[in-house]
Amino acid sequence: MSNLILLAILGVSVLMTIAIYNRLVGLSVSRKNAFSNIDVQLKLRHDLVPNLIETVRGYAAHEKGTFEEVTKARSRAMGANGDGKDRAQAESALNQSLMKLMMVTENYPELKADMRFQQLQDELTDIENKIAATRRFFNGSTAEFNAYLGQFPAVFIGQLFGFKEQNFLEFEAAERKAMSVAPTVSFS
Amino acid sequence: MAYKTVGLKTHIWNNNFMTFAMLLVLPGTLLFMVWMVFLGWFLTYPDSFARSARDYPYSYSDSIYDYGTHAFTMTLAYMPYVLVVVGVWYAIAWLFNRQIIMSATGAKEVSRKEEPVLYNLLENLSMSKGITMPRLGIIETDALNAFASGIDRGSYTVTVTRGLMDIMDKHELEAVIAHELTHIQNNDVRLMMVISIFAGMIGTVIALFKAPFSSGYGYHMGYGISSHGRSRDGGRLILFILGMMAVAFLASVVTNLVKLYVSRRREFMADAGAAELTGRPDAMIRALRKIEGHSEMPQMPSAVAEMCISPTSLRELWSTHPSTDSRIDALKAFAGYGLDESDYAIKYPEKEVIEQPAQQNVPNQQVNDIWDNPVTGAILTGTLAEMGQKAGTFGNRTKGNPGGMGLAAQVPSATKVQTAAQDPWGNEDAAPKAASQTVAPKPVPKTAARKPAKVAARARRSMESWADLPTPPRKTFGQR
Repeated sequence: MSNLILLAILGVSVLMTIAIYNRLVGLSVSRKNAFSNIDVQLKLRHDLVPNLIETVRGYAAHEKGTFEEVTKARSRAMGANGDGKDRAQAESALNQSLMKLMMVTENYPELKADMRFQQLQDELTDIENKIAATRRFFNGSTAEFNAYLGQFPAVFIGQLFGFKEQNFLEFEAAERKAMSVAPTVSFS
Repeated sequence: MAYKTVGLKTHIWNNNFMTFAMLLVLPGTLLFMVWMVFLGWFLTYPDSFARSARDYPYSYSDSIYDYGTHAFTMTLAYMPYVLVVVGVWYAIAWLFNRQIIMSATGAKEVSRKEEPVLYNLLENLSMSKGITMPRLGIIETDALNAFASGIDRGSYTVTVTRGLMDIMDKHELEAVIAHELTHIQNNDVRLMMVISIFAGMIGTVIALFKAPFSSGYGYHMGYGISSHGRSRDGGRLILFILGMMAVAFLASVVTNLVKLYVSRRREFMADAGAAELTGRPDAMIRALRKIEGHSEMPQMPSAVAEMCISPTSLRELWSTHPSTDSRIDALKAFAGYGLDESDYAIKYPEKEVIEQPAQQNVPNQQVNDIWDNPVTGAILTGTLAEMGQKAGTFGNRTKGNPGGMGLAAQVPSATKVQTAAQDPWGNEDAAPKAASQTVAPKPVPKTAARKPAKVAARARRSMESWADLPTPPRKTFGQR
């Protein structure tokens, strides 16, 4: 009789382990899917940058420093892969340099009137909105995974099979840091 | 507040369960109806009972119990046919529901090229939800409404009216779309479709039974209702038909009760989901206020009307859709902040700010102050002016006057003053509007403004702590 009870307990715990393991795998897969959605948008942005630079160059050829910065940030962002911190930093840097580029364009009314430029600008805005949207879902599913991993029975099974808490994708963090540094003003 | 604790996940689970239960219960109800038909038939025509029972190797007496048993046997015998009919009906509805609904409502599907702004809004919201983007439809009418339809990923559609697109600002439109998207994600739409398909079947059955009465079709069918009206057989037949109509009516009442139970809660859920998704309960509240009283769409089939953001007819006002006031109260309770135009009465006199925005009773004393206050006074006057305008335009709208009204006529300038004053957190749209108005409201005193901002900040933090991420910056979606 006691053997039977022991067997039942064992059986139930094995089933529970399987269920929790599967759930963890499912959650981490959906997190990965969510990231691939962001990836698509980030790549679209990478593709957009050269066109944007070429268009701006046509009107503001001497803003070389800004162009170089954007190009550098782009190639760095394209080199970074995965969902790690360096990727987030590289993309944030690209975002910042693009913001700077857009600031520069404010000084060129003919450029702002250019149809091609306007179209590119709209595209950039759209891509950035989509990056924000997909990132929101990605962070949501990361939170879901982490929360499940931290819960009572899952925490042991997660350790057993080497599941680790996953990182959020924070672009803003780098931006905030940059913004808290006072801008240098020179009159030379 | 009964709706303070809203659990979206639980709601989805409930809906899935209900859909499953409906798929079981509704055919069950149908079988019960068939059984009642047989029972009724045997009770009215004992001869046919005797004839039918003779074929079965049981010993039947004449008691009601035996009538019931034999009717059940007959039901089982005919069950496959009934189920095949039901199955075919469901299959057709499953495959062609999109086309049927589109032709019934006069909606047309639009692509990214045709409506880039709206399409982008929907696409981005679907991305933040992580769901496949539904189709997008537009109905060319001045009425303000929106609905979600469909039964699976391929057929899910969000449809808005042209009037809604013209009158809502970007955030409000986003809130409305998010509301419909939440209906889809919560599986409300699927549940509603399953129930509606069944309701359609029952409606058809009732119509069949009614036919001999309403169209005089009875003569031709040889019922001889009027010519042999006094004879025993004709009387019985009428009795039988009346009985069957009662059964069908009962079934339709049951279906409607189920619908009712599901539909009211669901609107609160979708509102809450929209507020969570967009992070702008205020926009949702503004949208609901704008829609209120302008949502009539007489041509809507009832199955679709259930899924509309706002009632399409007066009849629904008291049944399927909760009142705008209660929805706004629930939104405020859910989000912890958010302002309705009526709240300005509470928020902006120099008196202390009431922290519980859900509170509705304004003491008389305060009401007097509101009229004296330049800001709220302007708003109230504006509201009255708008009400007058509404009364004027409403008739035209309900008669379905196509394109009779320009945008300018529909939004009196008083409303614009209102929207300008409505955004205490210096939303980007608010400021220029306020400046352009001749009756620009006095800027809100700083002490009063600070408090709601603080409440808002706290609420935002608490709302988003689940994902620990700041609200993504919503940049311009292009110009409208």
